[in-house]
Order: sequence, then structure tokens, then C-alpha cells
Amino acid sequence: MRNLWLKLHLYAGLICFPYFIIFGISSLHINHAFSFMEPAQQATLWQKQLRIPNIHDDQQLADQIRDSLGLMGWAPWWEQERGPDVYTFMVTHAGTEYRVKAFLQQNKVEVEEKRKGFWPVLNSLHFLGEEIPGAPLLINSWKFYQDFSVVVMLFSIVSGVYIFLNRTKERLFGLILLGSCLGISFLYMLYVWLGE
Amino acid sequence: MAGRIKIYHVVRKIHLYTAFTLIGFVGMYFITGFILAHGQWFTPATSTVITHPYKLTISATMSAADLSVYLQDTFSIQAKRLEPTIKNDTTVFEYIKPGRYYQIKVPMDRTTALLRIEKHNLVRTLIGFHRMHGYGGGWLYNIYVVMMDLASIATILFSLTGIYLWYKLIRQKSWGLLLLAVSISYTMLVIYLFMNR
Repeated sequence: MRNLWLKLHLYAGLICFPYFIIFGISSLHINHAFSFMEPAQQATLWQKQLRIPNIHDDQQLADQIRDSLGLMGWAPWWEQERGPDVYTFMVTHAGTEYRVKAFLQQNKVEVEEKRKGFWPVLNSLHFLGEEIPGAPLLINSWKFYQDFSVVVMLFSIVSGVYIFLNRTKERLFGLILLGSCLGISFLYMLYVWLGE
Repeated sequence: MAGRIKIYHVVRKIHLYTAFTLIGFVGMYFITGFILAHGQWFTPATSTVITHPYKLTISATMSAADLSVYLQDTFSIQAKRLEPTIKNDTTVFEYIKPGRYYQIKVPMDRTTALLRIEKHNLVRTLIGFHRMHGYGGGWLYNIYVVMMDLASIATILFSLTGIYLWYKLIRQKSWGLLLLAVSISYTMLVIYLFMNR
């Protein structure tokens, strides 16, 4: 039985190894705002002839142009601005930010593309909450992998304690350490919450 | 041979005792993270709000930072102090902790203060545990953030020491190598796609 739990503990950990590393690094960044996590600022500019549909709803128009250009990402409403001849909006995801200028009469779009870089992408994989419009299945599957990793971490905690308790040599010391650290952590969190 | 056995035992002890020491915070982060990610599966995160105006008698020369501490003491607020901000000629002082959010608005003349207290329900409180970060705001909360940092380092440490332990423990390594290769390749491919789309 112990061997089975050990193998499950090991192999589940191997599957989730990349996510745990990403989680650790990105969590440290939350408290320390590492400068290397800042998005790169270099931008490239390109244009494309595109039939701009006659849509009055700004969100629908942004989504339609995004899909026609084959871009992936969200088009936030607060970055949309419509003028008489030009409609500007942003399409963004963890790796890239596109500022799109659609020239409504000329059926042309101008796109400023900023690639954020490796570290901002890695940082964003801490949490991917919803499907990204226009993204391939491989990217949108990440949220299932992150959920699975959460379950594996909790399983690893339980299975790790079980595996340990099955060895008699360090059991007493381990139990004292586990019990006291768990108790202190719990009481501390309780005090942070309820202390008035 | 003796040296290798010693390294194995050292690495095992690091894996084991790091886990035991930080099990509370690591477990808390993953459980509350799951609740944060899947809020729609749980009771909605809500708050009840109480507001109350007060009169103030304070020096006009007191700095915003000192005033933040003064207000915290005056109203007996036990929570993490945030940096004061200014909005529309009003200084906004904020204090947070899991389960509570305090906001005090003090206009430029500093004669009054509007205290707003938000009391969170259990779901929102648990999310509050996950979201509390950033040093500063009192020693009690700095300890919390230190524990958060240690839990983050521990997650990396578990993973790296875990790889070593698997390699040493399991004779037939092909399944493990396959799982590791697949998981790393999948992750690198996701990162590649994000960087190039």
C-alpha cells in the first residue's frame, strides 16, 4: 500500500513539476516585483487591407476585426475608441499586446504589436482563468492543467504525510514538527483573521 | 557510495521537513487559489458594509503616512496598512486583512473622517487570505508575507528535490522520464505559442 502511494506521489509530482516551478517563481514576483518580469517595450508596426464590417456595437466590431486578422486575445471595452473615420482598440493576452487602428472608410488596419517576452508569459501562467478568444486548444487547456496541479499538490500533502507515517524511524520527531507547525500556522492565520 | 547516500538523505530531509514546516501555508494557498479560480462553484463572495462619519482634530502638518497610523490607532483597526492615495482632494486611507476592508476618507481640511467597514463572508475571507501580499503595513502582516515567500520557495524546492528523490528511488525510470518529458514539453509549447501568437 505504501509503495502504491509513493509511486502516485512521485509520478503525479513529475506531471505537475513545471506548474509548481512556475507557481513558485510567479508567487515570489507578487511580493517582490522583479524587474526582469516587466514586459518588453519594443513594438513592430504592420498594416493590412481588410474589409471593415458596418457594425455599430464596438465590442462586436473589435471581436470581428480581431478574428479576421487571426489574432488571439481579449479586446477590453475600456480600450475602445470610435471616431468618425478611425476605430481604435486593443487586443491583449499574456504574450502580446496589439493596438489596432481600423480606418473605416479605407478598409485598412494598422497594428502596433508588442511582444512581452518570456518572463511575463511565464508569470501569467500562475493563473489562466478563462478561455482566450482565438487561442488554440493547447493554450486554453492550460487552465485544466493548473486545476489538476492544485489537486495534485493537495494529494501530495496527504500522501506525503501518509508515506512518512509508515516509516517508524523519524515518526515521533516528524509528528511533533508537523503538529506544531500546522498548529502555529493555523492559530496565526486565525489571529490575523479574527484579531480585533 | 557513502557520499551519495548522504546526499540522498540530506535531500530527503529538505523535502520532508520543508513540507512539514510550511504545510499550513502551502495548503492554504492552493485551497484558496482553487476557490478564487472557481468562484462560481461556491457561495458568491459578498460583504456587509457599515459607514460612519467622525469629527477629527489633528495637526495640518501631519504627514499622510503618520496620519494613516494615527487613524489606525484611533479607530482600533487591526489590519494591514496600505499606502494612502489622493482622489478628488480627499486622502483615502485603506487597511485590509482577510475578512475585513477598512477605508477612511479624509478631506483636505482634515476636520472629518468617513469610516467605511466591509465585513466579508467566508468565501471572500478565504480569497482575502490568498490575496494578501506586499511587505509593509505592520509586523503582523510582514510575518504573513514572509510565510508567503517561504511557501513559494518551498514549492520550487519540493519540485527540485522531488525530481532527485524519484531518480534515486525508482529503478525503472522510463515512465517517469516520459511523464517529465511530456509535462515540460507541453509547458514549453504553451509558452512558445503565447510568445509567438
